[in-house]
Amino acid sequence: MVEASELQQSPFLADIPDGDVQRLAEVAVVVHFREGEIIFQANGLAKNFFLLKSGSVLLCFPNGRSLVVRRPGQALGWSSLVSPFHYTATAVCLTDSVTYQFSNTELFSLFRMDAGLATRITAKIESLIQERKPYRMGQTSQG
Amino acid sequence: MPGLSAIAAANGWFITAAGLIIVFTCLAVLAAFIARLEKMLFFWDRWVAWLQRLKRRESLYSAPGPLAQESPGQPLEVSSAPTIPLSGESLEVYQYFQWLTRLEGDVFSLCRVLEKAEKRGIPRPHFHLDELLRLGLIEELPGEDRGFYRWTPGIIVQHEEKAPHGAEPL
Repeated sequence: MVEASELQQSPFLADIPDGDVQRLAEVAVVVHFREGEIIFQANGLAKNFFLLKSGSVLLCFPNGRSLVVRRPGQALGWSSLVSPFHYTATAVCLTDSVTYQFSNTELFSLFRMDAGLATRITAKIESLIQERKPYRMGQTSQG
Repeated sequence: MPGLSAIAAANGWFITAAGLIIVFTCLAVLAAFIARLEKMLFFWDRWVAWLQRLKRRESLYSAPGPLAQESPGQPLEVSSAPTIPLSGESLEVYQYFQWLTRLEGDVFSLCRVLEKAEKRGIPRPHFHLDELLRLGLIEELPGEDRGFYRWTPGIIVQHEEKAPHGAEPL
């Protein structure tokens, strides 16, 4: 469990009511990753959703595109909340990184008990999917 | 003279033993060579890397070279392009990355470059790639090429000892 005040600083959770953030904080776990460590693999079974606490993570998409995630509070692993629950990218730490990890089982349990929270998080996930769509789609540049 | 007697008379046993010894000796030598091949290649790679480092250091200290992109004798203050000072190790890795991306072309995939850097044993490739991105030496392409990267044009990279006073990272 982490402090709700820590999660409230995340841009991903902006506009989410304090009560919801508190519930999310109760299921969050702080996980440390070393430089070069892989947080999750593309096409791997997506079980966890992450919010970056500190560090720098490179999202490598199978088409060769990549996105650097280094702003605290940015989200990683939305695939854990969307069927077919397979990560669409590989997340590799460029520096030692710390994340808030949410098990999708725990999140779905929360969603079952609180439809409002489910709706708000789903809307956030939807906007994240749209935001990262250009990275998943399109041709592979230069092979 | 039939059978074994004929073999003995023609030194057949000796020839057989000699043949066996020669073949097994060769096999043993070959096996020993293959067993040590990895170490030999490791030392060869280290030697080549050491030579490359030496050459780079010589070119770095003797002339500005392609890195600094300035004409010899030109005062450093004259250049209006932003100058980024790098430490010796960072500069070395920067040059490694430039070489790796040259194989990919002007536009490159960070993931592929990172993979190659790891395979070639570049020290701390993840950290240094992050450093190059943070310093603005590598930039993401806009539009349809989003997610692919290139070296930011118009930036001068120099050894921190040679950089003009006050030059700071972007």
